[in-house]
Amino acid sequence: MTERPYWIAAGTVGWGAIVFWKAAELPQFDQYAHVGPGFMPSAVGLGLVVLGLLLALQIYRGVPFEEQGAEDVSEDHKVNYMALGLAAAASALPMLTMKPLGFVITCTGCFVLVAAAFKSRRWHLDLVLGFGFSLLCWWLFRKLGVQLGGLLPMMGV
Amino acid sequence: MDAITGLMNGFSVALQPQNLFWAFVGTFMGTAIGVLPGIGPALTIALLLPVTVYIEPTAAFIMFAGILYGAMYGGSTTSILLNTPGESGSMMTALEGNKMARQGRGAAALCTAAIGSFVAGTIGTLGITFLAPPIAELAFIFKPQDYFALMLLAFLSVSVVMGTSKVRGFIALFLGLSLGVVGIDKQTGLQRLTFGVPDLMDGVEMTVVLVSLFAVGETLYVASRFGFQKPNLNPLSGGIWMTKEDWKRSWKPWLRGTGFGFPIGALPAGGAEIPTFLSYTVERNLTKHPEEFGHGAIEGVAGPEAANNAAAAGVLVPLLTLGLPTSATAAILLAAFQNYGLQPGPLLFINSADLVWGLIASLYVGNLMLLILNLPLAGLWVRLLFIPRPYLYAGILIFSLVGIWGVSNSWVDLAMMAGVGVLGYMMRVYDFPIAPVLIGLILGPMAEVQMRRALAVGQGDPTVFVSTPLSAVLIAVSVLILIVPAMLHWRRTRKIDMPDETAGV
Amino acid sequence: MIKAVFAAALAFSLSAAAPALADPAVVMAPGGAGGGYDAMARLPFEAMSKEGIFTDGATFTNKGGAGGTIGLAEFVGANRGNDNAVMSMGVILVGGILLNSSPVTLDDVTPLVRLTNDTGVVAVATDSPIKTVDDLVKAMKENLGAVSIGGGSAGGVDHIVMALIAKESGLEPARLNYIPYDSGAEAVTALGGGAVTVAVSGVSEFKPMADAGRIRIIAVTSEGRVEGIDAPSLKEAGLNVVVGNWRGIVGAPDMSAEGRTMWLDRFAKMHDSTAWKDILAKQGWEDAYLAGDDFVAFLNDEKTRIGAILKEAGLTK
Repeated sequence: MTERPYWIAAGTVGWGAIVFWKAAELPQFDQYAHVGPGFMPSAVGLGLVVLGLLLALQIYRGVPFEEQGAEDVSEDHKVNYMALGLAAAASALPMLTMKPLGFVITCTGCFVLVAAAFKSRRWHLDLVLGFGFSLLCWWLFRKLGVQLGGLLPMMGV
Repeated sequence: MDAITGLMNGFSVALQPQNLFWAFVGTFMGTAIGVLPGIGPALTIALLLPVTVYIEPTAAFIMFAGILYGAMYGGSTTSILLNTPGESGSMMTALEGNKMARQGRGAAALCTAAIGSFVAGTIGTLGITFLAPPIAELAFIFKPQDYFALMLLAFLSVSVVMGTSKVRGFIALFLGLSLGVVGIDKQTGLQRLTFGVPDLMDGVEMTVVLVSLFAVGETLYVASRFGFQKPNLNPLSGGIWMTKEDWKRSWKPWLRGTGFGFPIGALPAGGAEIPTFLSYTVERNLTKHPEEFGHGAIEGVAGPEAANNAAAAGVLVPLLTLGLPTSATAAILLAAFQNYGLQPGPLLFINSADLVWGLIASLYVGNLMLLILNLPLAGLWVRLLFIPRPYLYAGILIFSLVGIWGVSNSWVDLAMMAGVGVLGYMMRVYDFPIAPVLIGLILGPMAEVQMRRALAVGQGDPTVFVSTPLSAVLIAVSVLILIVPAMLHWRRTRKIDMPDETAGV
Repeated sequence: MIKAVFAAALAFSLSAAAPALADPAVVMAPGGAGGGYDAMARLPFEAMSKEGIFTDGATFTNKGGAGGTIGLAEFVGANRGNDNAVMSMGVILVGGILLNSSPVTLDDVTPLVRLTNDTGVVAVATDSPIKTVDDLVKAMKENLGAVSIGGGSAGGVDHIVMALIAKESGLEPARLNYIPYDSGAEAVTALGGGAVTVAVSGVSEFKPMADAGRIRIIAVTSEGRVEGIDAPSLKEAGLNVVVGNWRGIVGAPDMSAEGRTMWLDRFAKMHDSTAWKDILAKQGWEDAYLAGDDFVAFLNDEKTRIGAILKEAGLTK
């Protein structure tokens, strides 16, 4: 597989450029230290641009990108985009629901989505388990004083 | 020999049944909460601060000491078993520890972590007992340029965790550095790369990045490539105890890790991270089994774990002897002292000798208790890996949310969790090492602050960086680290006359 | 087994969610747990509940960041017109609003009381040739850059003290070689070890080190002298600089007149109570009680004064 992911190099250069551009708005020098607040971000931004270009060169030469090993990863590294989507949805869900629906409902949703991503087929059992576990976490850590918010903030509980 | 009589008195306090009970409560809670991502000893003690109203000071401090050591230890469990370190101090443990767990040697990794923590904690406590005043002096000796040189050394040692491709390793490092500059510049009060978002003014929260890169990234990655087959590996296949070989390979790293952790932990700007980075590097360079590093070398667990526990002990040195809180945890302990109307410092040993020696004695007791609590549990913890994968990873995500949401209640942090989680996934797919991102994020701002401080004091004169003996030595060592491998490499390639693929790209 | 756990969890959570008390106060601390704003939020309520002044309980929220302005913004956003909502604050928030150009300011809230104050101290290393404030000013006039100054965050109270000293001595506050430290512990070791020439911090942070002979306090920032410290105030030394790190309580935006009177009454009672006096003693806080319209006037003065000096120090536009 000779994949040529030029977009990674482009992304690196792009982020580096943003950092450099934002840093350029800051003073580069300081009256006593000489090194001002803009120095470090400028250097980092420049470094990222150079590294991104080096990576592009490597990609051009056909450097291999081997996936990292992890536990329970199937040998053939076949990507299940459905599962990836479900897991990504689980990590994005809190952005949408944490404020209006609260910790317990959000975590129940995450639990069901992750379980589904891992091919659990009993979603109603997952729902019950997820709810119980989320509620337990919420209650326990709230007792300990961790601020996890109300049970149902939308309704003011 | 005041210390010995004091300590004996201390043990008579610490060994009273009710104080033993509080030590147990503390170590247990510390371990349990340390397991959670993002919630470390500082927050735990802060949350428990109100109990100081109800229980007497000796009991409270004995409990807090248990939490301090327990939380340091607890963080290693999830790092090893699930590759999800909960705080920066246990990140290095995850590198080798998780690889060991995947070979069925999780229990041995947990054991070497537990015993290493015990050894380091005990030596550290001995250090507090007998060496506290001279060690505390280090705080006055270290100048900004010395800190900078120490951080430079830690930075250079990063290259060993860079993985197979140097370019990708450096991209990861610079990514971390770029996240590190976000926020209000401490020296001038100017905003850097905040894009006008108020939640970013205090910088990118390190624990959010840590938890998202490791836990969320891992969940996405494993989910997308989850095989239908049963786990083909028995988590206990490597036994539940350390082998003779493991012991032989662990004891030196324990001692060396302690040697890094205790003095650096005692420095006002030291922390637990730098000693773990240094310890990992040193073990990787000294090992007789370099081929195992990156695939589960026990030295890489033993050293950093000892280092972070020794650093936790080191933090107590300036607190007790000078009344100086040098870390968030110590600042909260100081608040607890003040809740009882006590002022830590030289006078504390005179005015409240019972309390101080009781506290020190309880550190020994708490340490032993942790060992007793955790060694048998190692076999039990490993069984966590028998939990069906859907529930295991769902549970990890919920714990991550407790840490991320519970600490800040910030929507921006939740968004960052999702974004950095995807980044962690991509990095796994395209083989970018994860650790350099965090090293850059942690060390970058520290090194920048010290560099600018040193230059400000020296009014811009660059020779300030080698103006003290310590900084000169550390800088020289850094330069050697940079040059020697390159020279060896050059000689080797000339001899064999064949370009080295992995190092060349 | 799982069902039993679930049932137990549900039962517990219901008991936790059920409102146990009538209308608890909603209290915001714009700083993390264990910090100054946190204590200023919790301890007055501890005293009030102990003395039976206000016993309906309180829910505390910690929201630190950006000099306290993030907590302020959330407090203002969520509690408009809520007579039950109060927030701890202090001089650092006054500066923080300016430094972070916060869109939400203290004009949005209802000032109630100032409760405590922490006097600042100016200190040098024990073996420093600088022995008095005059020596310090002389050294600064000779070579301003050579006098490196350690203290808290840029634009914080410590920085303001030095900026005012510079201004009073006819020097440019923007030319100070000010080096911010994250904690008093870092600043005091830097000073004791000779990394900086002079340092500014609170009495509580520097006094133990001065008593131990590590550093020498050359001035305090209060009107007069401070008991137990052998150093003049800056005012006595001829510089008209009085700065305190004070803390207090503000109420929700658009709090009703009755609500304001109710809280002022509670704080007045609390201030006279022994429980509060015990807390002051234990925390080592100076009593700086100032309530109602007097506090409003004081707050306005502080805003003007701090705004002007931050501008002169080149920290705000």
